[in-house]
Amino acid sequence: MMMNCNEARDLITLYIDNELQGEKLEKFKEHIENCEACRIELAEITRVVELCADMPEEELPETFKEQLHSKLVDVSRQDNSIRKVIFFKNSYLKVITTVAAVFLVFVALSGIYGNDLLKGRFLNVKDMNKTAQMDEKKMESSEAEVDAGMAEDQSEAQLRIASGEAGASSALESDASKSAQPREAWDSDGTAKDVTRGTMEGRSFMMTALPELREIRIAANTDDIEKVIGKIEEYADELGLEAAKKDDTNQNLSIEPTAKFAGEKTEMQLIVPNASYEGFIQNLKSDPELSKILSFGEMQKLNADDYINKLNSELDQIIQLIDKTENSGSTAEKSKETLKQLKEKRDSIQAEIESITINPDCTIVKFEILKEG
Amino acid sequence: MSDREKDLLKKARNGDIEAFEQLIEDYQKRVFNIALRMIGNYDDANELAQEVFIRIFKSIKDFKEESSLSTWIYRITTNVCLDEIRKRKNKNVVSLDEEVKLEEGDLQRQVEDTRPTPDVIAEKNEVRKLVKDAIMSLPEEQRTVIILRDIQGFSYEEIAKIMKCPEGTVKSRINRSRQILRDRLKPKMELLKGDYVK
Repeated sequence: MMMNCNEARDLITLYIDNELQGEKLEKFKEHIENCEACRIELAEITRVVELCADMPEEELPETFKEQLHSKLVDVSRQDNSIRKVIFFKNSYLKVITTVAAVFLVFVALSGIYGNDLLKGRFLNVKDMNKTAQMDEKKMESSEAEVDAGMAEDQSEAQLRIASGEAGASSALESDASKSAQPREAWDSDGTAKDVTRGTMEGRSFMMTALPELREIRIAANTDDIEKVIGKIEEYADELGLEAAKKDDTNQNLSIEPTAKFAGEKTEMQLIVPNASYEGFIQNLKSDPELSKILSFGEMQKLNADDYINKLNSELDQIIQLIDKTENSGSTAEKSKETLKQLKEKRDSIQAEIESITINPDCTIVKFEILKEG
Repeated sequence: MSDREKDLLKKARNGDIEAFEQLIEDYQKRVFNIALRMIGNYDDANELAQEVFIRIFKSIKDFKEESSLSTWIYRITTNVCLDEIRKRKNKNVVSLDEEVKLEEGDLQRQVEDTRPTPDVIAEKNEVRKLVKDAIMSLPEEQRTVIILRDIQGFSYEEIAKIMKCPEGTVKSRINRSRQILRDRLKPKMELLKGDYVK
């Protein structure tokens, strides 16, 4: 039986592309021999295919590679700059309210202790205590004893407090002794409540002579970035809440994610008060899933002033970029999105500066979470 | 995939731009030409092709090697172009100025490329312009298969993988697209009077 025209026309494309074989090919050829209309159709479509194949191939635009390169550099920079900062807002904000009072002491003491102390920052005694409790060995740190100088007459607990901050702070021991605090108050159980309540409206402050931040980098490879972030956040949350429970003055602890995370590489940053640091790391290390993928870098010491200066110059740059973008008057979606990202980043850096200025005794925990290929 | 490609891919996944550039070197011209035929405009094709490679760079960590690198690259190429075409359709952004500018640019480049006698060039350019317009008038799915098959010369199997559809669909789409092209070109010219030889 001969192929009909509809069947034949459906096969024209396959015939042209050499995809017809065997019996079908024979029948198609037979039909074309005998049907003029289909023969013309085949000729015309063959010509269309030839005309398409004759369309010239263009060379790449001269600047193509150059342009692409600079875009790639931009993209990879953007990727690196996306970060998520979470702050533990312990009671530090409340400290501001008493800063005026403390400032008087600060000025007075700086007269006594010289220039080093001019760099000093305020430290919450209660947090120092917590740290002291946490690490018995650190309490015996000889560094602290050297710092203390007149150790004999000082209460042991005060030394512990000073050493508890890993040498970053030299506590103003003489302040405590001059104000004739009872030694018993700084008992080995570390609860110095009576003493602290006794001074400065329920809080006592000490200064860190050399503001020093700690920084640790933690890397992870995972096929599920969001899950890992979720887990880290959970532990951060847990710890934050725990701290809130312990600290009866703090009702409004919050953990604020201030930037969205990217798809392939996410940097996340936690500002963890040193008092809470060990517990947080312990939690991470004892998590069955996280412990497998996290790798911990070495603890670095940073100069707080340098660090804050660096953040400030970063902030300046971003503010300039925001101005530039706003003044360009562009309403394109792209620049709106850029502006939004820049503003998020600006807020995040501002919050970071604020957080560290108020509490330099913290560890910056930087996570770099990479998506596994 | 060659060992060299594997090595470059690994580095590119870690954000190594130089390795990425080497990896895509062989694909750039073809990606640009697909974009050019899809969008019909030299400058837009330049933008789109760059967008394609940016997208590839951003998602190369997610490339699971279920398909070959080339299939994956051309799939992203057609997707980026189709997205743009659909976006334009919704916004009706095709302006007359743009069209005119393009045509001139195209003609100029073709004149530079070929050096036969002026009247042959003129005739060839006229034919090409008609074919180009006819291709541009096709619905985007049909335009895609014609460009991949009849301009770029991909096999049915490759096209099916790039477009993620069954080979049968590819065949019928190509068939239909060629018929439409024929219908649109026929009234305009004598082009189709090629001798039937087979």
